[in-house]
This record gives sequence, structure tokens and C-alpha cells, in this order.
Amino acid sequence: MKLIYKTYMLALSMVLSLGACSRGFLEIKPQRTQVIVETLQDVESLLDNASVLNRTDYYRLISDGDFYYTDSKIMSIPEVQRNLYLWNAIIDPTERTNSAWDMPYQQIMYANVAMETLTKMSDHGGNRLQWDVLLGRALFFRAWAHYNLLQDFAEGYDESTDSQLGVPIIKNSNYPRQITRSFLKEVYDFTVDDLNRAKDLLPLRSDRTTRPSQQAVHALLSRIYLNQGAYGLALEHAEKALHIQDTLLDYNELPFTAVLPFSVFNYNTHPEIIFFTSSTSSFVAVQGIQVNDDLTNSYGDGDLRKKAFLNSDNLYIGTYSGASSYNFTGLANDELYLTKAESLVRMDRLEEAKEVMSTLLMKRFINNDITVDIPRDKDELLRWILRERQKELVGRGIRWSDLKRLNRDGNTQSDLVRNYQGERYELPTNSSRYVFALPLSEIEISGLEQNMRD
Amino acid sequence: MLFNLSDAWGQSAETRAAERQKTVLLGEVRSATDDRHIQGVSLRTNGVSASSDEMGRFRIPADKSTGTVEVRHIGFQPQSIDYDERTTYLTISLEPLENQLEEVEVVSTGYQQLPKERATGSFVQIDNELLNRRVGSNVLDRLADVTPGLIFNNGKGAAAQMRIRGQNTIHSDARVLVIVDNFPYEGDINNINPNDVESITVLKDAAAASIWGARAGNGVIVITTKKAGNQGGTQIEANVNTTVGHTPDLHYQPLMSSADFIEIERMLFDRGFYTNYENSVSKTPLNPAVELFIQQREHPDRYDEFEREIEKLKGYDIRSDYEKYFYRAPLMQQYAFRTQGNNGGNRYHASIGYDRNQTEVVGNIGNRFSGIIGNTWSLLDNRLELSGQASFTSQQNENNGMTEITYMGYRNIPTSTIFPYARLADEQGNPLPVTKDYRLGYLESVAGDGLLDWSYVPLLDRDNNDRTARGNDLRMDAGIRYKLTEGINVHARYQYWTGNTYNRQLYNLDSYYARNEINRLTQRDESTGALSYPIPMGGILDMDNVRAQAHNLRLQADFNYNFNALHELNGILGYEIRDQQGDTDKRRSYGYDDRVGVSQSVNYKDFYTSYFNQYYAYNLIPFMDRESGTVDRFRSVFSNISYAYDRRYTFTGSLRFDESNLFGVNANQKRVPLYSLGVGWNLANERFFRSTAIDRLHLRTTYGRAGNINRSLTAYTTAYYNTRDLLTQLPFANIATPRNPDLRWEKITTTNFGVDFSLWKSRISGSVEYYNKDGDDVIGTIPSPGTAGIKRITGNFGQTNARGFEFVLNTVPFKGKIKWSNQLLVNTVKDKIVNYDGPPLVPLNVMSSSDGLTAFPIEGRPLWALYSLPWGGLDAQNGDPIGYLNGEPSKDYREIMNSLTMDGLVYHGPARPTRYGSMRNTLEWKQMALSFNITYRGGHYFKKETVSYYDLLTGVATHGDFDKRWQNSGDEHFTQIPAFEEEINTPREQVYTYSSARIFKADHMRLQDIRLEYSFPTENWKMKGFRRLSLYGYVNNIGLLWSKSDTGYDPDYASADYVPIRTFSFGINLIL
Repeated sequence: MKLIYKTYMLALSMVLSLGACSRGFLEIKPQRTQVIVETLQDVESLLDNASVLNRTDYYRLISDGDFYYTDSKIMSIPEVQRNLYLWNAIIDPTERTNSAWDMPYQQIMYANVAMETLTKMSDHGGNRLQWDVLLGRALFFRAWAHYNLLQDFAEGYDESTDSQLGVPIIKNSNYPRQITRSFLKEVYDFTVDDLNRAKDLLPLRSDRTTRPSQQAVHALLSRIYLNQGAYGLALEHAEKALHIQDTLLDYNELPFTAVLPFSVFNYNTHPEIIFFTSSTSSFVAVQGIQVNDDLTNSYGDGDLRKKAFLNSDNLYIGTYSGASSYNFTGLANDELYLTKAESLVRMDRLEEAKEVMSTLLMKRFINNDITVDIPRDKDELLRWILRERQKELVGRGIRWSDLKRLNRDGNTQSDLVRNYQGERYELPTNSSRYVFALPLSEIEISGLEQNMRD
Repeated sequence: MLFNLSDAWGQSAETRAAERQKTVLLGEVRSATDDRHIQGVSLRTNGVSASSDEMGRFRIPADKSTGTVEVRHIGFQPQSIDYDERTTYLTISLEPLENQLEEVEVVSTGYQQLPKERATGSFVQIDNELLNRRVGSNVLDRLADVTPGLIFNNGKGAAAQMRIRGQNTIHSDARVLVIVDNFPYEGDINNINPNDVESITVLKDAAAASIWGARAGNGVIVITTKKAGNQGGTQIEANVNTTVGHTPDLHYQPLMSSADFIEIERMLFDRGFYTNYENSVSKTPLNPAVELFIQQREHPDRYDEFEREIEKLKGYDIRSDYEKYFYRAPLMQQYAFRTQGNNGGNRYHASIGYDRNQTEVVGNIGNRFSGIIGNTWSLLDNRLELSGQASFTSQQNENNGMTEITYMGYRNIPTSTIFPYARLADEQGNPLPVTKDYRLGYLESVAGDGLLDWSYVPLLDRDNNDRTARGNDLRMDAGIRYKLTEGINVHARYQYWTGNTYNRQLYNLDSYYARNEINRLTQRDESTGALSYPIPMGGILDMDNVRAQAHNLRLQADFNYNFNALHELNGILGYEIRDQQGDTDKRRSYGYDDRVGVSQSVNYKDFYTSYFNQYYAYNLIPFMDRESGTVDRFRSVFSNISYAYDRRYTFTGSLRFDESNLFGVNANQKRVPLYSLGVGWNLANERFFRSTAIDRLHLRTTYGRAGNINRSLTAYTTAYYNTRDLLTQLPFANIATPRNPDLRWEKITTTNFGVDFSLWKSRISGSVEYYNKDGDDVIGTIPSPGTAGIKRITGNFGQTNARGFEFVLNTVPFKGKIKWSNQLLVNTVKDKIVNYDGPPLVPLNVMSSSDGLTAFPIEGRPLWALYSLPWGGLDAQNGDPIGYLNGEPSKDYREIMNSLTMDGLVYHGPARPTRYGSMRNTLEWKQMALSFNITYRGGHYFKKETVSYYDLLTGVATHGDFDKRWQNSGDEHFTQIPAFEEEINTPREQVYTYSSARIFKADHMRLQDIRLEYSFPTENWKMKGFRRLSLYGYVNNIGLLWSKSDTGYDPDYASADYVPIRTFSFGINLIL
């Protein structure tokens, strides 16, 4: 018996040691197409995922009052879109549509994974220059996503208080984790922080407008400061961005016979685009979607924008991407001109403001001949610039943020009204329905405070 | 022969000389019925015991030169044989006890052959006769309803899977490990011809399965193919059968009538629902009735004329056309021939088989050719054995069948179910075009543009697509076994497997698919009107190839020792290594001409504007080429030991270490020790328990741990690359899995208690088993909040448990001219999630898909289960559904839906049966044998399909429950279907759709099958050589005998388009 035991143990240890040899045999990855994210190429490919990172949500586009739907269109669109359009308190009774919330956080996760991968690399992946640029891109994307979340899920910025609710700030890709909603100001500060870090890492302009650049950083900072009512800083960054490149497209050169006048350009060749994103749902040339009459009628004679933005059936065709499937919602030069002009007016530099506006509008009128009178009075000039801003940026997703900030001031606030099947729907100034509800699953899982809409 | 017998037994000359002084009894034991060697037979004389080895041989060192040997073996009649000085070699022939065939079985674990009496674990052996009871081309199907602890679950989605003893895993591979001829088989199980299979052993507990280590957690099925027996001479066998069935009944799922639907469409039309689509830029198709309403509006003078057209449409039902043109009566044929023989040192077998399955879907035909050839040589006086086998299967399947037609629909989903009044052919049977992707008017308007015909004629289209799948599967086995010394064998086995599948899908130029692809990207020069074709004229050919191969090598030593017949020690010890690699590639060719085999190049880079939608400018030619590959590597050492004392007490143990290339996990987590321990007590062999009534009473218990793997996971953040982004044309990557450094293998710990018994010479026999399986570190996917950035996170989140009883009772109530035997199987299984560290679940998602679509692990509940909202019936006033809010009946639908919590849901029960079993009766009279199997399943629930007013109000036809809706006061006593409300009211609909009113108990009994067999009395025939000639008939899927819930549905197939077809088979079996 002992002998058997000894023999067995000997054999067992022999067999076990057999298992220890040939290390390499098991060091092979099980799936060829599954790649561990570790190289600069991997990080770049993640950040080049334009269908994740260069997208914004469509909620704002439907809700901002510029688009108008025919009754039959309203009837046929999904319930969520109908509720958004009619400013109903409950947007998604099924609680299944969470894209406005989920998508920016997905972008943040990509950005965080990219940053974490970069940080882990030894010797900056062998290419310090590219390493810097990629870190800059990741920082920008994270800032861009946080900025977008605030536009949908937070009130308009009120500098007099620190207690406005923002959204959770996500700084790394760890999960699970404890999260809470930070204050609005904190989120803006975090965003500005990321952008300031990104600025020095990025090139002035990018070879592709889907990739962030220094110009994009300034353009976004300018937007944020404008939202915060910090006009001096908004002006400063608008100027810095325009200093890098201030080209405007002369609408006289557009082929107005084409189905989409901007189709001679694409996302990368359009002279005004600084940073390209598009809406997850496109409203370009969709039957039944028009621009509201008031706005349509506001384009004066000789204003080429009416023809560039609306076709003969009154359908919206004005996307800068030149493709109906990509409804442009990114950063562009024309917005910077308008921000610059507004900031100048608010800082009582009226003449400069007018000059900026003429430079822009020249390119929008037939034969570069501005046929409208520019007001002289400060308040009137401001209102006129804001109106031009609405006319220029229709369908770009900026109006919603503008409404929120302008509603803070009694002089510029407005109530929105729609009619559907004989009924009147309203979105009064500073309504709680200017913030969208967080997805129910987020409330349940993370225990975040819900936005109240009534 | 060079060696004499005792040399062959591997003793040294010294011991041999010493023993010559005593008497050594040598001999062998064989079965009297089939001449098979019997291993493990107990022989005893004058207090000295021995047992026979695997070749049935024994040797007993006896003190005296005369005496009596007591020969005992379970399942055989005991014998006493006298010997004296002249006895040189005893050849003992044992007579089996009647009806004891199952008891003497030797179970195969894939590593060793184990006499069942020495096994402590839970094994089920399905012998050849039982396997052949069913007719069909799939071998695993034959385990259905005859295997304790194994069930083929029906129902929805992922819940409908075969499982052994419940499910202990959540998101990992829950499939049973299949072993074919000693090694894991990961090819298509249809490559195994059931006619080549000798027996199947199902390994259920840790002691049985843990020898298979990290992949044994879900149970193991060991398939052993037929080899040549020990019988001399040559044997030839043929088995031929044909199976027929009827055309399926497509009206099984109720559908609202075309007339009702058209009236709904009229209502929607009148309120302007279609106005927007009439001018759609993407030319969204409109249903024929809607087109007619438009005609009526445009031409009020011809109103009646169009109304008559509409009336005609109301009479059509697409399901009748499907039955007529898409389905047929199935016809299956099976031919199998086999030969085997033994000429002493050489045993051989060879078989060929051909199966042709013409399924119930027109255009789907499967062909399978299979062949095996094998040889075993015994050399050096049986000390050395060499074996080799090659098994080849070739399948060729045509899959051109269509089961339904789809179209674009109003939601712009190209696979929307077609409207119910579509027609495939006119009264004369001439194929008709059907609305597909574009509005008819648009297609007419571009008919003169020079495009290819853009109409879709389903019945013609079937002939213009050629989908063929060809598969080849080759297994090559080689083995060498050498008897090192008495009681020790060493052997090496090697298996090479390769399986390839080639899927070829050709859409020729006349197919709708090719015409549509070419047309939709056709470019028109605005100035000249000339057309150009980015997708060249010609067919489109998709090729999809899957190649896999595996190398397996195993080195193993078997040992078995007997000490004076009291102690028996058996064991194996081995090392194995496995490398399985797979490659997949897909290719697409455009402009393909099948006649000359040439395709054309295309420009994948440029954007094209859709012909039908000038606003849609970003079209690319679909680029489908891609490749992927997998590598699975395992390295294991294993050992299995059993010690038996005096044939009364058995102790078993097994130990195995597995390592694999599980990606990125720390090395110490790669290597997992898996083990088992077992004890058995043969009570019937105890002196104090001698009873003539009890043939056998065996108590056994085991405990041990096996594993389970999930190959898709790794510890690191991983991504997969994509060729290019549509917009930027840059390559880009998606995050596939976020990092998880704590990733571990799943562990499944099983405890098993069993009793085997046999009474009154096996008039009653059977077994009772109880098991408890605990799953730890179970990998689960949990929904994560949006802020996580990824919607699902996977990790070792769970603990699971499965437990149950298995009861097998074999009885022989009559035994005479008519013999009646009966097998009763009763199983219970309760599996549940014990612990799950995931974030809370969303109640609505749980209710909508927890019965098979999405796994929602909920503590204390089975993985697949049904939940609903409490149901308060219908409002007698207006037929509104009544739900519950804070425990009170309520119609505040919005608030009900808003205040949903998991605690507020009604839990009904599992979606899989918790009790199941079968009762198989066999009646034998003279040469006739009749058997039928009645099955029972219960303890589970199902959700009945029903109406969706949301669908209806968005122009999609819905379930036939529409007819049963509440219409007048009083209807609430007969129906649970709410009244139709003409406005979309999602919460109102949800209160009904998710309610308990749709959930029913699924308990049912069915007569599964009947088999009748007549064997010709060949032994009485003058003609020599006929060993067996029998004719048989078999009817399968006979039908429900009883169902607890009266819903009109078969509870097992409540969401199927039709229930399994009843089939009739006839066959002949001949052995020469």
C-alpha cells in the first residue's frame, strides 16, 4: 500500500511538473478581434469613433421652438418626440429612451478610458507629440459631453446662486462608484478646467473637424462664458478662436439649385466648421418639419439664408454638413461672430459690435449688400443681434441654451407657444420644463435627485 | 506466441517460480449472452478473493489444489465452480439476471470505463436500444424524455435550451459539454450520425463530471460510438427509415382579420395618419388599402369601384398563402449501413450513412453523408493495443426557404411584418408582386428611367437566391495502450478534429436583393439623363467560411490492484493538452456572374446619393469583408481514484487542475483546482442485510466542485476595430469590455445523495437521487446606469443554487405471454439566484423580457421567470383595464406606471418546468413490441401573446385577441382584453400588456410518441445468418393530453408560429 502511495505521488508530481513547462502555450489571446486598449493607435481609434463622440442629442432641437411640425407629422412621430415637441411634463412614459443622458456619459467613458490608457503608458507611447494631442482630445471630449449634459439637464446659469443643480461629474472609468449631482457651477468649472488643460496640448486647427483643436477649445469656452453671462471672457475666447481662423462662407457662392445647398461641402471642407458634431436624429429635409412661420418671415429680402436653410416646400435643409443624415450641431465661425457682437454690445462697445455684424451679414446677403438697417440704440441693437443669432443658428441646437440664459433677463425673455389639433401648448419663461427628466433607471440605480417638471 | 500466459501477465520470473508451488487459478469470465468480457467480477475461494480485469481475466492464488470458486457479479446469477489439480484454465460463463441489463452497465466518463456498482457519482446511461427508440437525424434529441435530470426546455428565447439539473450560470456558456469518443466535441452535433452511436452517458454530479474540470459545471454528455465487439466473425447491419408529416398550421397564432384591420386603416387614413407618408422623401411604402383610400379621395366619382377592391382585400389572409406556397409536408429519409468484425488480433468496424431531410419549409433540404472506419490491433499477446478511427461527415444544406415576408413598414424598419392581406399568388397560382421598400406609385413613376425592374415577387424571388451551406467534419483518433505490468496500463490518445462550414449566398441579377442594391445607388447625370451603376450589373455573392480545428493529446495511466479480494484500488492519472482554433472570414463580391465565376471591382470609398431619396447623399457600397479568429487552449492534469473494501464500501476521489489562455487574468486565477469526493455503501452485500427480496441496495453520496468559463471576458479594457467610420472614413474602435481585474472562473459545487435499489429479481428497480448545486462567482451582466458610460457591465456578480430530486422506477407488472414493463421518471428542479450584487433593475424591462429575452438575476428567483402587474379586470362601464395603485384598484395609468417598483410586481413562477417526468410503457407479445411515452411538465408559467393597440394605431396589424376585446357592458365577465381606444395611450396599454391577465400556468401532459416494432423470428428460420430482421413504426409529437390552462395554446409553444409537426416514420432494421 505504501509503495503504491509513493509511486502515485511520484507520478502525480511528475505530471504536475509537466504542466509547468511551455509557458507560451497559454499566453495567446482567445479572440483575434478583441484588442486590449494600450497603444497610441488604440487611443486614437477610440477617439476617432465619430458615431459615439461626434454626436449630440436631438431633444433640444425639437423643443427650442424654431422647428415647426405639421399636425400629420406630429401624429406619426414617436411618442417621445411628440412629448418633447409639445413640452409635455412627461416625455417618455416607457422610460426607455435615455439617449440625451446616456450618450454624453458614454462619450465621457471613452474620454476617461483614453486618458487612463495614456497615463499608464511608459515613455508616452514612444511619441510624446502624439501623446499630448491625444490627451488634449480626450480632455476636450470630456468637457464637451459635460457641457452638453448641462444644456439638457440643468437650469440656465444664475450667477447669484451656487446651489443650482448640475449633473454628476465623471472623472474616471471605474465602476461601480458613488455619484451625486454636482452643482451647476462646479460642473462648468470642471469643464473649463479640462478645456484649459486641453488648450496647450492641441494644435491650432485639426486636420479633421471631428477632432478637437485649440480653436474648438476657445469656441466652447466662449459658449460657456456666454451662458454664464461672463461677457468679457466670452469675447476674449471668441476673438482667440477667430484669430486662429475667421473664414466666413459667402452664401452668394452656394448652388441654390442643388437639393441641399451646402452639399458642395462636407463636414471637413465647410469653411466655417471648427468642430463637427451632428444630432442623433436628423431633421434635415424631413417631410413635415419646417421652420416656424415667424422665423421664416423674419428673413428679409435679399437675405440668402432663407434659400439656404429652407427649400421651396419650406423644409429645413440648412445643415452645414451638406448631408441630410448629419444634422450639424457643432462649433462654427458664424456663431463666434454672433457671440462676439453680443458680448461687445453688452460691454457697451456698440460700434465694434455693428462692424462684426456687418462682416457676418455681408456674406449672407445677395451681392454682399446688407439691405437691413442696423439699430443704434443699445437695447435695440442687442435684441436685433439676438434675433440674427436665432436666424443664423436655426437647427444647430444652440437656441435652447440661448433661451435659458435669455430668460434670466426680463428684457430678453420669451414665452413659447404651439398649436396642435386646435389645442394650445405653452412653454413659459423659466418653466421647470426647460430641464429634462433624468432616466428612471439612473434615479433607481444611482439614487440621484430627479428634475421636477410640471 | 512468444510468451506463455503467465509471462503475459507481466510477472518477474522469481515470483512466478515462487507461486508455482502453490496453485494459481487462472481463467476468464464472459457473459453468456454476448460473450463479452466482464470486468470486476468477484471470485472467492477459501478466503482468497480476486476480481477480473478489463479483459475479464483473473488469477487467484489458492492454497489448496481443490476447492470451489464462488463467482459473484452484480446483475448476473452467482455461480459456484469446482476445481481440482487438473484445472488449468477456467472459462466462466455468467448468466445475466433478467432485466438487469441496466444494472451491469459500464458507464463511460470519457476517461475510463467504470462499472456502475463501483461508481459513487450520478451517471445515467442510455443504451443502444433506448437510443434507437426514436427516429431522427439528431443524436441529442434522443435523450429527450428518457433521461432523468435532463430536459429540453421549450418556451421563449434563451429559456428554451437543453439543461442538465437546472442552470447555475447566468451569462456564461450554459451549454452542456459534449464528449464524442473521449474528447470534447465542439462542432455541429448534427455531424454525429445516431446510427453510429453505441451509448450515451450523462454525467450529472461532481464525482461524475468534475474529471472534466473547468467546463463540466453544466453537466457532461459522453457519446461513445460503436466499435467492434468481441464476437468473432463479421456482422452486417442496415437501418433504413422514412419519416413523413403534415403541413404546419400557420393559423395557430391568432391574427386579427384583414377586414378589421382594413377598417382600422380607414380610420387612421381619415384622421390623416398617412398624409405625412404620402409625401415621404424616402418613399415609404403604403399598404394597398391605404393606396385605395387615396384613390377614393382623389377620384370621388369612382368611389364604389375602389370600395369593391377594398372588399376583395378583406378576404385575403397571408397565412393561408404561406401554408400553400411556403410550407409543405416534410419528408425525411435515413439510410445507414454498418459492418464490424473480429478476427482475433484485429477488430474493425466501418459504417456509412445518408440522411436526407426535406423540411416543412419549401426550399430547405438537408443532406448528410457520414462514414466511419476504425481498427483495433492487439499485439504482444494483448499487452499492446493500437487503435485508429476516422469519422467523416459531409453536410450540404439548401436554405432557400422563406417562412414569412417582410417589408419596410411605417416605422422604417425593413423587416416589419407584412400586412395580413398580402397575397403571394392570384387564384390561378401566378406569382404576385408584394409591397416591399418603396411606394408603388414611386416605382411606377421611375419605371421608364431605365432602372432594373424594381418589383418584389416573393415566389419568383425564392428561385433567384441560392443559399447553400456545405460542411465537412473529420475526426481522426489514434490510441496506443500498453500493459506495463499487472494492474497498470499506460495509454496515449490523440484526436485531431477539423470542421469547416462554407456558406454561400448568391443573389443573382434577377433577385430582388441584387436589383434593389443596384437601383438604389444608381446615379443619374442631371444634364444628360445617363445612368451609371456604382454597384455593377450582376449578382451579389456572399461567402462566409468558418474553419475550426482541434488537437487533443492525452497521456494516461490506469491502475488497479486487488489485495486478497478485500481491497480494490483503481485509478487513473493523466495529463492532457488541447488546442482549438477557429477562423471565420466573410467576403462579398459584386457584379458576380455565376456562369463564368467572375466578379467586378467597386468603389467602396465614394459616397452616392440614393436614387429614391435625393436628400440622402451619404451612401456607401456595403463593404462586408471581415475576419475573426479564436484560440482556445487548455492544459490539465487529472487523477481519479477509487478504493473499495470488500465490495461493500467504496471511496472515490478526483482532482484536476485546469489552465487556459483565459485572457489577461492573473496566473494564479488561471489555475483552478477542481475535485470531488464520494462514498458508496453496498448494503446488499452486508451480511446482516441478506434478504432474498433485495437484489441490490446501494447508498452513495458525493461532493465536489467543477467549473465554468466565459471566454468573452478579460480583465482589461478591450476594444474592437472597425474598418472605417461612415462620415470620416477613418478606422475607429469601440469599447467592448471595460476593465475588470478581479475576473475569476465560475465554480459550481455539487452535493449528491443517491440510492439504487432492485427488488424481487428486478421486478422493481430504480434509483432516487437528491442534489444541491451551488454556483459561486457566477458571471453576470448587470444593467448599469447611464453615468457608467456603458449600459451593461459583466463580472463575477452572482451566486446561484439548483436543487432537486430524480426518481427512476422500473417495474415489470406482468411477465408471461405478454410482458409489460414500465419506466417512470420523476424529476424536480428548482434553480434560483441566491445573491446578486447588481444595481436595482427596472421593473418594466423585467416584466417585458424576463421570460427568455433578457436574463434578469433577481435574488431568490429563477433566472427565467414571469412577473407582472396586479390585474383588476376590466371596467364594466367602458372596458378600461384596471390596475392597482398602492394596493387599491386604480385607473390612474400614468401614476401606476410611474410608481412601479420591483416589490410591486407579481411574481408568478419560473418560465422553465420545475417538475417533469415521463412514463414509458412497453408491451411485448410474441414478436411484437409496443411502447409509448407520456410526458409531464409542470410548475412553470407562460405568457400568452395578445393585442397591441399601439401597433394598431401606428398602422400595424395585431393579434387575434382584437376580436375578443371588450365591446359591450357585460363582456368583462368573458374577456380580459381591454376595449379599443382610438388614441394612443401607452400607460393604459401597459397596465394591460404587463398584467397578470396574460400569464398562465403551463402544466401539461402529452403523449409524446408511440413505437411499434415487429421482429421476425429469425432464430426459427432455416436461413442461417439472419440475426435480426425487424420492422418498426414510430409516431412523434402526437399531442397534448391535458393542459392546466385553457388558452388554446400549447403551453410549451405559446409564442411559436406553429407547434412541432406530428410525424410518422417507418423503418426496417436488419442484422446479418
